[in-house]
Amino acid sequence: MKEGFAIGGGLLAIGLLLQLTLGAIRWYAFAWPVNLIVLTAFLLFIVVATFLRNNNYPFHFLTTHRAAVPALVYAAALTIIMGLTRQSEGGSWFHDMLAFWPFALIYVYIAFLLALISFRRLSHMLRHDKRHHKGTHRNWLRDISFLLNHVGLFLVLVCASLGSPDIQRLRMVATIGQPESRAFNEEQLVKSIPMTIELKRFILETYDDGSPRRFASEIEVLVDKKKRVMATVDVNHPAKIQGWKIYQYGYDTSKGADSQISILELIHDPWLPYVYTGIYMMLAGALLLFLQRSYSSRGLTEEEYRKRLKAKDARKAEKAKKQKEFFSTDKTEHHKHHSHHSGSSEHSGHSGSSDHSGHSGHSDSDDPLPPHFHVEH
Amino acid sequence: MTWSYFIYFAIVAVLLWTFGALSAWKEKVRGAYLFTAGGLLVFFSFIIGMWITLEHPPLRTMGETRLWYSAFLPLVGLIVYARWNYKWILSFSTVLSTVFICVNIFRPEIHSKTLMPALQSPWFAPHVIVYMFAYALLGAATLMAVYSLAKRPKSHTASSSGTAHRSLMSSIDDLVRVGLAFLTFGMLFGALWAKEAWGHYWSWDPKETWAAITWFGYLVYIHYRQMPTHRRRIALWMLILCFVLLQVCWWGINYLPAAQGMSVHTYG
Ligand code: HEM
Repeated sequence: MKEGFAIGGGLLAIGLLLQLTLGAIRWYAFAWPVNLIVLTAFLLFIVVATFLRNNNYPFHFLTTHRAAVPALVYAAALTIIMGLTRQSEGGSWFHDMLAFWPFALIYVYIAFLLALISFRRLSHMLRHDKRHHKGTHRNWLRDISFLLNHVGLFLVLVCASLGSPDIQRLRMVATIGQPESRAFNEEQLVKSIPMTIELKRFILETYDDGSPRRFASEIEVLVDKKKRVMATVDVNHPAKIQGWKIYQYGYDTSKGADSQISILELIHDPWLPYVYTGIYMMLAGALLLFLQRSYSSRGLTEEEYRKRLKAKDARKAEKAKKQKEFFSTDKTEHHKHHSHHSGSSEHSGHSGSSDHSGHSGHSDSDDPLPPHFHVEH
Repeated sequence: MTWSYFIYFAIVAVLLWTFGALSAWKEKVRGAYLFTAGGLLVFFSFIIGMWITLEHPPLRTMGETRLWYSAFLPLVGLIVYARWNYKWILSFSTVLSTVFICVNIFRPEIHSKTLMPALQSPWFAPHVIVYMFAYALLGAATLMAVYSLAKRPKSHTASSSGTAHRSLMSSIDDLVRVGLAFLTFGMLFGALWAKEAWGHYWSWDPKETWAAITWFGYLVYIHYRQMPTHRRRIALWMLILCFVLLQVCWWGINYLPAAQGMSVHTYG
């Protein structure tokens, strides 16, 4: 755990340095296509790291709980600071947490860990599937639940942050009888949109006490100068046209139901489908979490645990010894041989040693026990 | 159907749920199912009656949404009971549900308190109900954590106390895992709703920020417990801290200076 906290601390330090030298993060610099390039580079890096981690201690470490727990603690701590300080765009340091380098780096780190552990889990599942280990069975429900939760969160984190500079959020004042194609962004600059909107009717319904119960706009939209679409835009029920969502934003409150205008908000977020994919994956993952049995419901005694720990150490030492032999004999052939070799040693670790009989997967996890075993202190 | 009949349906339903909860304590499983299901039937008939009379689902006023919490709590209680056979869960859901019912009976003026348009969303009820249930489960886990911390093992070597700890810890873990699942549902329903109502799924306003903090807190607990080298007492203290964070998220932000006038989630 100490290493994990040290890594997080290092990231905070780097973040502070970046904040001091470069200033706050300028997210708009990541607008398309920069975000796609960054994402591709990030994924490539993770793929390389996944292949490295089999024989590379630092990368291996990153896939263990000893890295995950401190990372989550740092994320919680920085988010607490965010929750305790007043946030405003362009604020300094803690006051604009989203543009604060240490905050962003910790979240990037979490995304990185999520990707590493997901790739690792996936490769375990595939390898297991190919070999049909005797005497072991994978718990597929657990694997799927794991992947849905972790990959889902990865997608949400990455696509929501990298996609944020591509979001367009515009306001338009639609007037009865006047087709309108000008919309304004937050800096009040006119932006072009691929449609013309005309307000046909504004609807305001009130409760008995006069407070608004519903306000909505019936609009006619001319899309790309050819197709006409009628739509009703209600609070909570935006219209969806050409990749844009059109929201009811406001009206002329001095005229109430007789308002001749309606203020609409037009939002375009090209990354939304990917974020939603992540959200739906997490929802499915949460459902499976609900069905799963507790990882701790089959506890081990202290003694059993120590035995396992010893067996694990012995296996590791043997593996290291064999690896050394390979390195010293033939370096050029190492790669081919190694993959074969590490596979077979894992195999023997699974079915060969008696203390491994009952549980599933996780064979080369650095933690001596799979997560569903634990020991009370 | 109107609110004036509510009290009769409510009394019958609460009585049935109470019998169900008592049966569960006495390990009379069939009684627990039958009484609780009967109470749900009575309560849902009132809701459906209201629905038919109003010609829309009763989801527009505060009183109407409270009606749904009161119905869903015993329902989810029954599901959890069926899954894990916790003796106490039905008592817990019955008490909470009764609290909401009493608010509706004794403060009738709020029946007509209106919902602003943004709250009239199909997401509103599930979002709030799921959060309420998460709060209830995590509250129960916290109580058990406090109990476990307060109870010192009598002798250090006795393995029976170790076994007792272990079964208590696995109940706590079950509760936290299901609580976290509900917390995740609540948060993500909130995100999907926010996209429809306010145009973006996550804006880091104070309520959302604290929801994220709470969520991270319980994630720390779950992952920490999976470490073979974890310490039980540290894990239990984590749960208490997480529950404090949850309170900040639930009502504490109304008093946080940094959140004043910032949240779209405080409706007065
Ligand atoms: C959606 C939120 C998350 C949920 C619900 C979740 C849940 C879980 C569960 C249930 C397991 C046990 C898997 C099993 O026993 O099969 C697990 C393992 C793990 N999680 Fe998470 N987790 C989440 C987020 C994270 C994050 C953000 C990180 C990293 C910072 C992380 C890192 C890990 C690691 C390293 C493991 C061990 C993997 C292994 O041994 O194969 N998790 N998680």
